[in-house]
Amino acid sequence: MKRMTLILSLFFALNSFAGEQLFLQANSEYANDNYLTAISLYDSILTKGLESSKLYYNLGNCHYKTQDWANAIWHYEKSLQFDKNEKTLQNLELAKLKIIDRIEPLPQLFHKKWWNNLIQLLSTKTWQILALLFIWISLISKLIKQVNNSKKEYFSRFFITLALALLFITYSSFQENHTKKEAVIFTKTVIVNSAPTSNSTNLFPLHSGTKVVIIDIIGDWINIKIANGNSGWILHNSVKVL
Amino acid sequence: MKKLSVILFLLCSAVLQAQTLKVAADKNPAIVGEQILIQYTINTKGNNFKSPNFKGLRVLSGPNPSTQSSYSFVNGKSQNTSSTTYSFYIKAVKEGTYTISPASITVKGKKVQSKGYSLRVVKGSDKSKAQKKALSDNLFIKVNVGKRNIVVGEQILVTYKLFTRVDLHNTELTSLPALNGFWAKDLEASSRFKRDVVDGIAYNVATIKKSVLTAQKSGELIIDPMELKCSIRIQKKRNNRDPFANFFGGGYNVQEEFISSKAIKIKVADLPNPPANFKGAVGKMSIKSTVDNTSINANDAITYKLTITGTGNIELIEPLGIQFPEDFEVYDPKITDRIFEGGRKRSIKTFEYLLIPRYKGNYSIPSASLVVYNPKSKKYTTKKSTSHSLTILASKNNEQESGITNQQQVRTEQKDIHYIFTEGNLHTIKERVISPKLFYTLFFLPILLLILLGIYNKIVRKTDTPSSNWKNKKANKIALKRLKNAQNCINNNDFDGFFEEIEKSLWGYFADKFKVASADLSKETVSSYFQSSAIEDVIESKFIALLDECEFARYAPASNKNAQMDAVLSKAKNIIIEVETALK
Repeated sequence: MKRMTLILSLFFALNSFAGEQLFLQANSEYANDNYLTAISLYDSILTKGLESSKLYYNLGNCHYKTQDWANAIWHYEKSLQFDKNEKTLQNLELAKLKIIDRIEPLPQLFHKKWWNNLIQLLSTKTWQILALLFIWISLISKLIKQVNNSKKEYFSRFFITLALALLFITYSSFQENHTKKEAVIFTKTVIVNSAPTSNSTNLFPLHSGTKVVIIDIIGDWINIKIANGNSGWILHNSVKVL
Repeated sequence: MKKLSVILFLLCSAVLQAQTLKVAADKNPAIVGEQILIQYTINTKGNNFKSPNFKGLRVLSGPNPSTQSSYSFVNGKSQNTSSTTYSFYIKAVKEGTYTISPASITVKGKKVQSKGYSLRVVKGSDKSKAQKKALSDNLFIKVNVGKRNIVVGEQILVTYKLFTRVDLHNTELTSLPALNGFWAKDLEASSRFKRDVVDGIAYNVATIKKSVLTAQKSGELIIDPMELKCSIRIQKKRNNRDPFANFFGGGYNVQEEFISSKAIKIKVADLPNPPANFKGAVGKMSIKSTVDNTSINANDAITYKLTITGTGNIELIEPLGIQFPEDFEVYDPKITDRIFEGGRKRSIKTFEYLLIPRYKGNYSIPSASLVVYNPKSKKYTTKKSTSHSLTILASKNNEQESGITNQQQVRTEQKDIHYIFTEGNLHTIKERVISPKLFYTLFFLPILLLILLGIYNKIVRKTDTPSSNWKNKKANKIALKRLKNAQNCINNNDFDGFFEEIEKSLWGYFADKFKVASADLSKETVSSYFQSSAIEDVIESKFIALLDECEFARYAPASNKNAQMDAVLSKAKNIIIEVETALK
């Protein structure tokens, strides 16, 4: 058993080492403007079962350079799922300028904006860890108090309150980042229908590179919502899910 | 009666005549390729003539209106007649029966329509065909194309040559080739006839048109035929009866013939994998840049000249994006070109930029690069000009610069994406969150434990006396608070005040603790309340003894006042602590 784990860990180490090698190789291809080769090298890292926000960011850059805006946006969005990097956000903004659809997002109420900013401050995982940390600290402090037979509170109530607040934030963050399914349109032009049938009323067209939120799936059709609040049905194969 | 009917008939016919638009052809049936004259005649003046639809027939000319009017004076009666004729010259290309739709004209506000006309066209006799054949052998246009398989942006030279062996009187271009998908540049062509021998037959050859075509899109592009109207002089047969005609050499018939060139298909291929910065330059070019002055005062002008020389579609090259230093004022370039043979011969195109540096310092103009596709070697090459470093000295006539610095807003607008990350930080693909099940278990387990602990404390440890240690501390605090004023008195050496204060504090403490009204305060009440609260007798007696001592000390002060004060203070403290502890 021990040997097995050793071999496994060794394999992973080798694998990630090879991945890093490929990454560096792809970087040099990018530097020499060979974007297509760089893309295939980066993709081969993905097929090795390795990923990172930086890998997706670099892939986004490659696709941007080859003027494949939809793919660039998809990869930047993917990178943002791991890490909210300022560079990624700015590149994404630039890529969004290149696509056809310009959607004005609905204005948000200030408290909602603040709440969202707070939630996005840390990743869901970090929030989860913080919440768990504080609840265990409060338990431990309570136990210390019990054992020592002391009257001291050791801030245990403060920790419990904090942990509960963090639980709430974690829940919201999870809802926002992990239950909300998003996708990017890859078909050049897609007509949004009012119902999941091809003969229903055509509502509005969308073009490749636009990000949509998936609300529902029925067969081949998905119910999507765009940033300005409009929604409708499009075929599942016209998008790539993030 | 007879007279009357005649008059009536005449009137009627006159009225009827005025209302018709007659149509007639000079020959029906006609022969293929023959010129046919179709005339529409109306015997009044009309306007707004609408031409018929000659479907399938080629209109050579028309409508040509002509008006005739005649005025006759017969037997004292004047008569004025006028007629208008619209004539068309048409030509049939194929045999068959053609229906010409009715034409219409407006006469005095009334629309008059002609009848439809049916025209039969038959094949010419063999003789006329043979004639045609002979003619096409002797008069034709030949198109020369340099290359039939090209790439987008490549140039080809197309020459239209007229070969003739007949006596040409006049030529007229009737339709120019439509060059869809090409950018055409006409070259000067000398239309003088030269003698040329083809297959042993001498022709008079003239170059009618010469153009350089640059393919603008890929696919199969067609150079449409060019049509030429030729007037051929044919000498009439000698008419022996007219010596004058023979003498003047006259007697020519002019025959009009239409000849056209063949349509030519050109296959245009897409450029293979153009690099990102390829702007469509195809050919063989080189690039050079010059600066007229590398060291100059600020606010003086510099001329930066970029010259592209070579062959190819030089004329179509747009100004190259050169990243001039931000502090330079750059004006739109002056573009001059000297293109020879549409770029097939060595041509020059120059972009002249006027730059005005605003601030002193060392700047550099980076090299401009031009990606050129060479169709011969089928390769892309990047031509780069030299980069120039400029030294800008302080402005001579602008004293402002040294005194007040002209501050500039730093340009923050982002133009290109950020560079890639150089480190991967790769990790295996896994869930990016702790699974909700695990998370909630880990979160609610401590909460559950906390609740259980609370319940345990409530049930099991309820009867346990709280630890004396903690209680003592609290009692001590209370005592200190009560005796604060007394402490102050010690510090001030106020002997009388001290004992009064101690007494007051003790009584105050007692009154507060057992909720006794100040009127009821006496030593008896103390013992009764102490007993009811199950406080030991020792404490009670100590308390009363202390009160007594205070009273006594006030009236009979001891010799060592300070020592007594300290002793009493500590006693008071102790008694309060003891009562406090006993009460809990």
